[in-house]
Amino acid sequence: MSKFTKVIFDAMLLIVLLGMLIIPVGSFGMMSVNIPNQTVLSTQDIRKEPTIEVKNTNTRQVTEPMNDVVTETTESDEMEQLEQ
Amino acid sequence: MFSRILVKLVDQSITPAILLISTRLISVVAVSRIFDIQFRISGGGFTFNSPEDYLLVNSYSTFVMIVVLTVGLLYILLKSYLFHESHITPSMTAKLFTLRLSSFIQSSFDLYSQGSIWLSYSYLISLVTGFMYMFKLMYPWVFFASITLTLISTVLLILDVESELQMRKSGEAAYDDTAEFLEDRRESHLI
Repeated sequence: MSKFTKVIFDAMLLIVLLGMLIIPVGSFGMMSVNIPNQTVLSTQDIRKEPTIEVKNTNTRQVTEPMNDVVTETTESDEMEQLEQ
Repeated sequence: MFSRILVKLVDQSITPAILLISTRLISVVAVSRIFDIQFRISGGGFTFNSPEDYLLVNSYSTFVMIVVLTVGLLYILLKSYLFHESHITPSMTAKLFTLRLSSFIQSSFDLYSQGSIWLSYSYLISLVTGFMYMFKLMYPWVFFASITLTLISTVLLILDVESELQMRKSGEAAYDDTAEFLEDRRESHLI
């Protein structure tokens, strides 16, 4: 048997051996999870709700989403609360 | 020489490969039955309905694989410590021959090729369980059990190899029972 044939034979044996070692480990990949009605979310799906900016500088501005109530607290209101 | 080792390793790897795969398949079905978990068998293998089910079945079935690996490694370590051809006691030899269990007495080449294969499987399973634990696909105790088994069996096998090497160095007779030397000489027409 020539040296070249021996090397080829050894390489084939090595591949078979590696295959034999990997087969049981490959069994870890035969399990999966099925999630029904799965919705795929992406960053484009995030809705950006518009906000209201109150221009009056004397009032404290509370920025809230459009569907919520915008609360404005003026200085006079605060004074009244302090007096009470 | 290299081919002989490879052929031996391939030969020794068949049994544990079949054993581990069948253990995995049986344990997945058994654990699903025990915990009353529904699964589907499709082209991609076992499909579970929820990630929790997958985590549970995956962890317990891997643990069963680790138990089988432990049994295999214990069997090899027992053979290498008690029935090793190089350091078996005369009384044990007599007992084994009386019980017609002389096949238990094995050479270093047989024992260490078996041990290296089983240890390779142990290392590979530790690696995979480590990755699965990192990605939360397996309970942490499965990974720790796997790594503990691997470390302990590696240390025990190394200790046996060390004692074997010391025995060889101390000058006791060591017989090479392979016929390769004679074959080489015959090929070169020296015999």
